[in-house]
Amino acid sequence: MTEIDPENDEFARRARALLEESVEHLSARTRSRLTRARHAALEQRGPLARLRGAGDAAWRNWLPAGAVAGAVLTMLLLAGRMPAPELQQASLAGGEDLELLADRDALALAQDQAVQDGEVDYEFYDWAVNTEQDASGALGS
Amino acid sequence: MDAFATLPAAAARFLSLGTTALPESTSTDTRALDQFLASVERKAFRIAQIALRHEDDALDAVQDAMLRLVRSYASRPREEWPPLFYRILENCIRDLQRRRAVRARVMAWMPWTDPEEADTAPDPIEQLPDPGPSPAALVQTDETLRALEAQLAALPARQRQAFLLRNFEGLDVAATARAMGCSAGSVKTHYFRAVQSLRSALGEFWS
Repeated sequence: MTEIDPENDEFARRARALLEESVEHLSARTRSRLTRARHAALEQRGPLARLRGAGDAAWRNWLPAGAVAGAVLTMLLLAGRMPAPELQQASLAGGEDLELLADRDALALAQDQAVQDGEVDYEFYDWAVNTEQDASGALGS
Repeated sequence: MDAFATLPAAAARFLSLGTTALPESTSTDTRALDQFLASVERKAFRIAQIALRHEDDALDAVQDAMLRLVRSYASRPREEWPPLFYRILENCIRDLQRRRAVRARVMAWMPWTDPEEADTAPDPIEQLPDPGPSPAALVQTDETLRALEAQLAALPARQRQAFLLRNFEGLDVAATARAMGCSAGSVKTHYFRAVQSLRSALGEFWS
C-alpha cells in the first residue's frame, strides 16, 4: 500500500482547502459560543480558581497555628473575666441562698446544719419559754 | 502579650499568600492553553459537526473536550495537547452519538414529543449579517462541501478520524496515532482507505 501525502496529493489538498474555507465562514453565533466555551474551560484555571486554591492551601497550612492561637486567646479571655476570690465566695454564697429559697427541704436541712454547727436556735428557745410558761401556769392554777 | 506582638506580621504573611505567592508558571500555562484552544476550536468544531451532523451537539462536544483537557491534562507537556485534545474530542463525539441513539430509542416511545423543539428559538447573534463570498460562489462551494461532508460522515469512524486529523488538522502520523490510540501503520491504512473512498465517491465534484 502506498502512503498518501496530504501535502502532495491533489485530492487531499482540495479537500483541505474546502474544509478550511468552511472554518473561515463559521457563523458569528458559532464563533461566539466557541469563545465562551473556551473561557468557561479556562475559568477552571483562572485567577479566582487559583485564589481559591491558594486560599485553601493557606488555610490548611495555618490550621494548627490557628487552633493554638484560638486556644490561647480563649484562655486569656477567660482569665480576664474570672472574678477575684472574695467575689467568688460571695457569688457562691448568693448561689446557695437562691437554692435554699427554691427548695424547702434544703432550708430545713440548712437549719438543722446550723443547729449542729452551734448557731442559736431562736425557735427552740421560743418553744421552751412558752412551754415553761404553760407549765408554770398549770402548776400555779 | 508577646504572642500578640507577632500576630500582625503573621497575618500579613497569611494575606500575602492569596495574592503574590501564586506560581508564575500557572498564568503562563493558562495563556498557552488559551492560545492552543483558540487555535484548534474552530477545526475541532467542524470535525465534531461532520461526525455528529448537528451544530449544538458539536459545540457541546468541543466544550466538553476543552473542559476535560484543562481539568485533567493542562499540566502535561504542550506538545502532547493536540493529540490529547483530539482523543478527548473523539470520545466526546462517541458519547454524544451513543446518547443520541438512546434518546432516539426513548423518543420512539413518546411520539408526542419533539426533541428538536427546545432548540428552535432564534439567536440574535445568528441574525446578524455575516460577510462572505458571493452567493454564486457559495452555491458552488457549498454543494461541494456538502457532498464532502456527507461522504466523510458516511466513512467508518476510524477512517474519518484519520482523514480529518491528518488532512484537515494537519497532525503528523505519530500525533494522529496518539490521538487515535493506535499504531502509525494503522493510521496510514485508515487514511489511505478514506482517501480512496472519498475520491471514488466525489469524483464528479472534483472534475
